[in-house]
Amino acid sequence: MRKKDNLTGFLFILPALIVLLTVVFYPLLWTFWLSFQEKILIAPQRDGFIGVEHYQGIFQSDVFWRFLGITLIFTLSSVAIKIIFGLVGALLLNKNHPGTNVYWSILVIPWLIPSVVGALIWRWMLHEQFGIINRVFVHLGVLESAVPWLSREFTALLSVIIVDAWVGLPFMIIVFLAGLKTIPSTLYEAAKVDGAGFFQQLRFVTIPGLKSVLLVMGTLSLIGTFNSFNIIYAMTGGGPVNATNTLVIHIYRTAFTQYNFGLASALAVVTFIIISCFVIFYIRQLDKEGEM
Amino acid sequence: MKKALWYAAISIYALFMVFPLLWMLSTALKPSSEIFSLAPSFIPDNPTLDSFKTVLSMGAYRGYLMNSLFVAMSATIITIVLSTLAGYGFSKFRFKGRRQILYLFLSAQMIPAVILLMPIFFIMTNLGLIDTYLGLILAYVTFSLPFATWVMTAFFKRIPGDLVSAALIDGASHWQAFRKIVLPLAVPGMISAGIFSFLVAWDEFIFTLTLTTTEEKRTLPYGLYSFMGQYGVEWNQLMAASLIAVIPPLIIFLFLYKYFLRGFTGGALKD
Repeated sequence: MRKKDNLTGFLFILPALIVLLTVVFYPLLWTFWLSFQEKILIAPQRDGFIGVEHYQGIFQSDVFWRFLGITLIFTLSSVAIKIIFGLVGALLLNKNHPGTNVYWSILVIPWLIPSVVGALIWRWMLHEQFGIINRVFVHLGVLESAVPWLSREFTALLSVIIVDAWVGLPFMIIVFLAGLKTIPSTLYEAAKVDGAGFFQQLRFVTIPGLKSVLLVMGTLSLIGTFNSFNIIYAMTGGGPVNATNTLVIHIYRTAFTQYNFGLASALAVVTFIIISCFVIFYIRQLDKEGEM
Repeated sequence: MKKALWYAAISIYALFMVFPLLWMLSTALKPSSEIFSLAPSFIPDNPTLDSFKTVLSMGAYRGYLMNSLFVAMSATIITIVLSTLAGYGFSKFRFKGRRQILYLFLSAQMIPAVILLMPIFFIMTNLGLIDTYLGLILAYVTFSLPFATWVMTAFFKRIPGDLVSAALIDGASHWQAFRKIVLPLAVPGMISAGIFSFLVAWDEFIFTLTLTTTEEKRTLPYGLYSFMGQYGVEWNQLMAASLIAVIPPLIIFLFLYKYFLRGFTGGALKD
C-alpha cells in the first residue's frame, strides 16, 4: 500500500515535472555548456570549446562591474521603495472608514497593467516636449525648463526605478495588507495601554508581526526586480549610454543584437550565481535580524 | 481630525498610483491636435473615440490582440491542468524525493527568463517552433507553472484528507477519488492559479521578442512596443491601443478577484 502510494503521488507530479525539466532545467544546463564555447551566430566558423575564456574576459572588463553596479542600484532602490510604500499603503488600507474598499480597488489597478503598457504610459508622461510631468513641474516652478528624462543618464535610471516600483507596489500592498490582518488587535491594545505611540506600535508590534511576510516578499521582490526586463527594455532599451543597462538587459543585448551566444551564456551563468548567493544571503540576514 | 488626515493621505497615495492611467485615458480621448497643445487639459476639450476606432481598424493590432488571447488562454489551460495534478501529488502524498522535487519547482520560479533564452532559442529553432503559437505557449507555461503548482499545493493542504481516505476505503481508485471528490473542491484554487497564469502570459514580453519573427505571431506587449517605433508620434492612438490591452486583465480581476486573493495570499504566505 505505501509503495503504491509513493508511485501514485509521483505520477500526479510527473507531467509537470517533465515540462519543467524540458523547458527550464535542460536549457539551464545548456546555458552552462554554452558558456564554455565560442558561439557567435554571425561567425559560425569560429565555433568551438574555449574553456573559461569568457569568464576571464567578464571579470577583467570594467563594463561588467559597471553594469553590475547599475543592477544593484536599480534593484535595491526599487525594492526599498516597494517595501516602504507598500507598508504605508497597507497601513492606510488597514482601516474601516467608509470608502476603504474603493481606495483598495484604486491602489490595486496598476498591478493589472501589462508591464510594457506601464512603460509606454510613463514614456508618454516623461516626454520632453509634450509630457505632462515636465509641463506640471515647469508650471509649478519646480523645474526651470523641460528635462529630457530618458535621455540623461541619471534621470533615466531614476525613471526606470520609479516605474518599476510603481508597477510592483500594488502586489506588495495586497500581501502586506493580508499580513496585517493576521496580527491580533489585542497586541495593539496592549501596546496602547503601555503608552506606545504610532511609531512604537510600528516598531514593536507591526513589523515583528509581519516578519515572515517581509521575509518572503522581500526575497521574492529582490529576485524579481533583479530579473526585471520588460520595463527597462521598453522605456530605455538599456540607454542612454548604457546608463540603465542592467545585467539582464546586457545579456539580452549581447545575445540578440551582437549574436554572441557564448559570451551571453557566460554572463547568464554569472547572473544565475549572483542571484542564488543573493537570495541565500538575504534570507540569512533577515533571519538574524528577526532573532535579535 | 484623525479621519480627515487619513482621507487626505490615502487620497494623495491613490492619486499617485492611478494618475498614469487617468492620463492614458485622457490622452486616448484627445484628437491629435490636442496632444501637442502647450497647455494640455486633463479633461479633453473635444473628446473623441477616433483613436480607438483607428487602432481597432488596424489589422495588425487586431492580430496582436487575438494572438495574446489565444496564447495566454492556451498556456493558462495547460498550467491549470499540470499544476492541479502536481499540487495534489505534493500535498497529499509523501513519496521519496518529494522535498527535493518541490525545491526544484520553487527554484525554477526564480530563474530569470533571459538566462534560459539562448538554449530555448536553439531548441525552438531546431524543432521548427520559432514564430509558432506552440513555441510561445510552451515558453509561457515555464513562467507560470512553478508558482501555480505552489498555489495549488497550498490550496490542497487545506482540503481535509479524510474525504479521500473514505473514498479509497470504499474501493475507489486514487484517480477516481481525485476526479470525483478532490477536483470539485479544488475549483477555487484552480481559478486563482488560472488567473495568475493568464496575467503572467498577458504580460510576457521577452519570449515574444525573441521567438517571433513576423508581425503575424506577435503578442500585444511586443506589438505595442513595435507600434511605438512605427506610430510613435501618435500618442493618442498608442494610449488607446494600450488601454484596450488593460481590459481583459481588468475584467478577469473584477469578476474573480475573491478567488484570486484567497488562493494567492494563501500561496504566498503559507510555509
